[in-house]
Amino acid sequence: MIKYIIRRALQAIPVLLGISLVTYFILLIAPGGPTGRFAQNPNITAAQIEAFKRRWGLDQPIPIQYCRWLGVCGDKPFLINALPGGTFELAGLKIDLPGGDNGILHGDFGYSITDGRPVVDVIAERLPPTLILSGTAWVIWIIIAFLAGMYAAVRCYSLFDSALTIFNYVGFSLPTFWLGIVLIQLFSAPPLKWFPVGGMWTTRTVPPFGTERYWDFFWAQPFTALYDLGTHLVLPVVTLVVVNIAFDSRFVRASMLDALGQDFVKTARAKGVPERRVVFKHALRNAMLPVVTNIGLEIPFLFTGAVVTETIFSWPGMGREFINAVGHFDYPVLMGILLITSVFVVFANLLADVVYVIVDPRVKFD
Amino acid sequence: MSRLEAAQERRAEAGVPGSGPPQASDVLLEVRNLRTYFHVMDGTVRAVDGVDFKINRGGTLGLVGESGCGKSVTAHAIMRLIETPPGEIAEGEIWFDGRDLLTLSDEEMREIRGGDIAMIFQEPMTSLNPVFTVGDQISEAVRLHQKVSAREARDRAIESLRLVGLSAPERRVRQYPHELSGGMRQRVLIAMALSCSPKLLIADEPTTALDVTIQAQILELINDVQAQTGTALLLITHDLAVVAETVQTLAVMYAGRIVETGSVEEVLLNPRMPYTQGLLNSIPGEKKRGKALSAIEGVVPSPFRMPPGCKFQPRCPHQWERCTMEPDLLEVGRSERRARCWLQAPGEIERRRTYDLAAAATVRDVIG
Ligand SMILES: Nc1ncnc2c1ncn2[C@@H]1O[C@H](COP(=O)(O)OP(=O)(O)OP(=O)(O)O)[C@@H](O)[C@H]1O
Ligand SMILES: [Mg+2]
Repeated sequence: MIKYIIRRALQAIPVLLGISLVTYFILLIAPGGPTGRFAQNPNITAAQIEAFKRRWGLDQPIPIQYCRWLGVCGDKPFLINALPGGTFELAGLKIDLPGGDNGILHGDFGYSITDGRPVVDVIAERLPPTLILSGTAWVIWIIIAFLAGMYAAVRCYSLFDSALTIFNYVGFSLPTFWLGIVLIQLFSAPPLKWFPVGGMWTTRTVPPFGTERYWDFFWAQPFTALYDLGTHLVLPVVTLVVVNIAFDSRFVRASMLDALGQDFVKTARAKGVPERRVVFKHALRNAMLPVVTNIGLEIPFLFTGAVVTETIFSWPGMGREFINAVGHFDYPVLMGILLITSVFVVFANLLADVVYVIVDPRVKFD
Repeated sequence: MSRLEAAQERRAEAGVPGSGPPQASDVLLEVRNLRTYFHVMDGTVRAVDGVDFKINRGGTLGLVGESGCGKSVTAHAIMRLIETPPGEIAEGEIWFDGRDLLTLSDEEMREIRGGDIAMIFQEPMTSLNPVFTVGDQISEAVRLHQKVSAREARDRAIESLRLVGLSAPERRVRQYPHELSGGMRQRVLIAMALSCSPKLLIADEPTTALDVTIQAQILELINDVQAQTGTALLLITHDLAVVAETVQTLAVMYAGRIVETGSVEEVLLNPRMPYTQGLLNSIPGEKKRGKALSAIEGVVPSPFRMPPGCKFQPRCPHQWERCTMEPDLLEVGRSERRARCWLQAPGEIERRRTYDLAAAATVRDVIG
């Protein structure tokens, strides 16, 4: 299994390289460009734009720019630069490594054009809120999708099944932004005002999430902090769950129905297996197989976040940062987020494949 | 209250004769007037429409008939595995070992399934659960019906795999179904069915999905274990050659009814019903070498447009006016020999003679 994972990980390298190339050039041909944010500003002179371009290396030929972004070109000679750089300490000995230290190969995703911070820092700051929101929603919708999908399959064509179908149909068709706004209107606006309109913490009462002050506050008053976070989570989580539950519950229902119709289920019943065990052991184990793959492929969502939901509820996560970056023509941040997303997609695929082999004895690592 | 319960109550009130367990103690299974319907979009399919038969302890019965005549539905009804809805056991009694299975609770029935009555199915390739080992699946059956430890159950599994002639059973129990061939899987299914020493084994076309050489082996195996263990056998097939070698009694089914019963030799050598003769006609025989096989004319009537009277009448070469009335299962000659055909009615000697000549010719052709 280890060998299989290593091989698949190695195979992922050219894939990721290809993805980096494609994202880079798609962004290149997109209108605007890194200087797009100055287009509407009459106070900026052509000379200033030239200076901006020189400072960010945008005056270089495109292949050089890509090469530097990757980290293959840099201060050190071409290709050598791609090797690990910096100094390395071993038993008191300081060894100078030959490679450079720029580019994504060295974990350097560049700097945000908007505020000059390293892209890595921006992502590190935005990732936890996204994990919290998407993760909560994901766990909830998977659990509900499982229970509802299974029940609908066991009692197929029952009232419950029809109700679920309608709910799924509606949920699937509702635009996220519309549902989010309606929920805010209903529950955050007067007269109910049950939940905050947006954001992740109550300004003035709770320090900004992720800062040192926040954690001090958190450990001092954990329940207040959690409660505050919880109230901010409810509406965006509900939005995500309603919109996303349809696909998974249909999927679970379909695989369960398929499994229940198989001959081995008849065999199990014929040997006197109680109905409960027929469903939860014999059918479920088989229905799990396609579902596991599907769930695995949803994992990247946990990191990339829900763009629309985060934007509507002003959730300071990856999705909203992405929209911000687009709005500000912040190319390094855009590239960073896109590339990290692809890494997660590739990784999730690998994970799904590995889990599949573990749960299905018919599939072998090879 | 379901239709079946209503029928049961009505019968009890009227004290209809024939109700109650079979008198003879050597009868293991007696099915009486079994009716199983499916309510589908286009109407009601009367898949089984008044079936009666008996199997003695240790006895063997073959149930034959064209595809769709209700053989599997009969077997599923005995196991109470009819999916409801759309299916429904509308009427009948299934006396097994002194109890009417149709009156048992779900839990009592569950204990009988796999315990006293075991069943093997047509599709060995898909009838085993792909994600559990062969050993786990047999042990599960054992542990459902007997209070034994996991280790004992595993030993029983190995033992029953050995009984069905699988080599290296200690290794087989750890294998998954996909690692076995179709014939081996059918052996595993037979082993599973026999693991709790059932009183009745129902085999629903156990060889249909297998290739010819394996078919013979599996049949021989079923024959052997049946003789060894004394299990009664209900063998369902559409292959007359299969039953000829395996069972003592034969019941021929057509359109949800039994149309002819008797000992295998009697039915095959002296068919009393044109349908049985037609079935015989369609088997390849010595004398027919080089000649085209004659299939029965026409098609099975649609379940929604059943002809009046005898259901075989539209396809029957001997059909006349009387056939528009439903014939009973008439006794012919000795007891336990019956045919649902007006040709066997007392006054029809003339017609019977022409039919008998045709039937005799068919039998000669097949036997050679
Ligand atoms: N679940 C169901 N829903 C509707 N109709 C059904 C169902 N199961 C069986 N039937 C009908 O019952 C009739 C008898 O089917 P059955 O499976 O018993 O045939 P069979 O004699 O076993 O045929 P074969 O040799 O093909 O196995 C068929 O006409 C079929 O259409
Ligand atoms: Mg069948």
